[in-house]
Amino acid sequence: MSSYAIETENLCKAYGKKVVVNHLNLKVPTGCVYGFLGRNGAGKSTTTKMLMGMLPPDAGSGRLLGDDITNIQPSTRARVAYIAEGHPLYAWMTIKQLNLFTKSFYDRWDQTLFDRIIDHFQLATNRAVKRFSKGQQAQISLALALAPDPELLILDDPTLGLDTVVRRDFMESMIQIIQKQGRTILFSSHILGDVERVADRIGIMVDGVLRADCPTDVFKQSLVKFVLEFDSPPPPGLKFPEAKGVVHSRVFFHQLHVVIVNPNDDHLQLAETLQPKEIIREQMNLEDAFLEYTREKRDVLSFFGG
Amino acid sequence: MWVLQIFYKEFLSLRPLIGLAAIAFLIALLGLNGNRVVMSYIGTIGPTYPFLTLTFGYVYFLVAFAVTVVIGFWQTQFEFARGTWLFLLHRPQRIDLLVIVKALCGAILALSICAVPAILYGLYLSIPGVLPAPFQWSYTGQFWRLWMLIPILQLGSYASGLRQGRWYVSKLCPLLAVIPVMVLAYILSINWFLLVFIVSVIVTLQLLELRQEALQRDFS
Repeated sequence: MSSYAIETENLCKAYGKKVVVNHLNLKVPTGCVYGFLGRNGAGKSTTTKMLMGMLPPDAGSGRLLGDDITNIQPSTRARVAYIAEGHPLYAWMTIKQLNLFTKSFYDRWDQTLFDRIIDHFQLATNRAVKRFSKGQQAQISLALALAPDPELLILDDPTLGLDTVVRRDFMESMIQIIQKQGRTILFSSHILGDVERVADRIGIMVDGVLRADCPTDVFKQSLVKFVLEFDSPPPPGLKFPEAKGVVHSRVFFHQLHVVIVNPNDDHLQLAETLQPKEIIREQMNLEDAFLEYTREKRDVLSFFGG
Repeated sequence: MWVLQIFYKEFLSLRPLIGLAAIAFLIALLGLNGNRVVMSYIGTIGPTYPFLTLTFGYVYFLVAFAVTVVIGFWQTQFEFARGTWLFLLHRPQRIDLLVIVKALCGAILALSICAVPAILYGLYLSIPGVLPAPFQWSYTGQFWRLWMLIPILQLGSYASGLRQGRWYVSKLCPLLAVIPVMVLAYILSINWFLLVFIVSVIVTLQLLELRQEALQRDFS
């Protein structure tokens, strides 16, 4: 058995001329909580849909618990829970009807666990799903996903559309409920805070390309910002020279901010060629690191005539 | 069992349409029966002799075929609109099987929805005194031959709903293609066995097409 619950090789998907997923090589180790990050439109949902066999890839291949993603066997599907973006459920069904409907497909269904989760969230089972708030619908999705006791959970932006308080409550409950030895979890999000507390490993998609894939702590430590201070505003088009590890650079008033992965002496020498007054090295927190990593290459607007 | 659960789900989701269909059939049958109120609105139809005349078949199946087409589209488009294909197709069964079972459930429901008003109407006509001459169920033979074509139409509209493409170009092809096929099947079917055979062959071909579409479709 492979040590990876999810593996892809050069997975590609394009809509017309727009490449949404570009040669993706994703490997999620078994038992890992993997945070799949990226801004809206980065290709996270398209990737998860391809992984679930809902969307045929244009090129490349992938395996889900050892099964080819273009031909996932029912027995494998039974071991995988998938919560799609927006928690699509039959809104006109009551929780009771939805439970009976979903349960009928599975040989293994933990009714006690389902009831416990529904009780925990204090949801009335005779109410139609559409009568519940978006946050409560997310809780129903979670209960339905966990009742078959899956080995792998794929959650596509499970907190999308939830307000801050509901999102935090949902995440805490989710982690409390789904944590189990050996269970693999991949969840995509565009909110770093959701991922930071729970993920062992993160992958960051930028414009369809997996730009980072490493343990969360490693990512945090390896990203450094150089702030090059100048006497006067540098020309707006000024860029840091292209070099391995340079994520991007942008002018910010009298400064040039350069984000670098694992900076070394070569980067420092390149910085000195721009003749700044001072070079400040800043360690970034995870949120800043994520923002810098995923932001578009755009200089700050010169509102103050700078 | 999951097949029964899908059937029940389809029935529940089609409830609003079943209600509208019941009203449409009621109006059509009242008109065909010579109801003055209905005839004052739709003056061109009825009264006509039940089941035997061309007018009866034309009016009844105008409603029946319209309802059938809507059922096929309803089944597919509502899943796309709500994003629930992703929920349904992740159940541990083969995706093509789920798509086909759902289509067949729709076909059974379409057959039922279109048969029940005719049966009730027939039972009403069987009451002594309703018609000047006794009503015979054998009069309905021609009616059932047309009714047999309903699955072909429903699967055609379901396939069109599932198909990717532009509405005014390739998306409607599966639906438009069944119209001449239905006419041909009706004309060629000189007896019941031949009709059942022809319908079975066409339905099988449609299910194969659905299977192919299900395996290639972008359900996102």
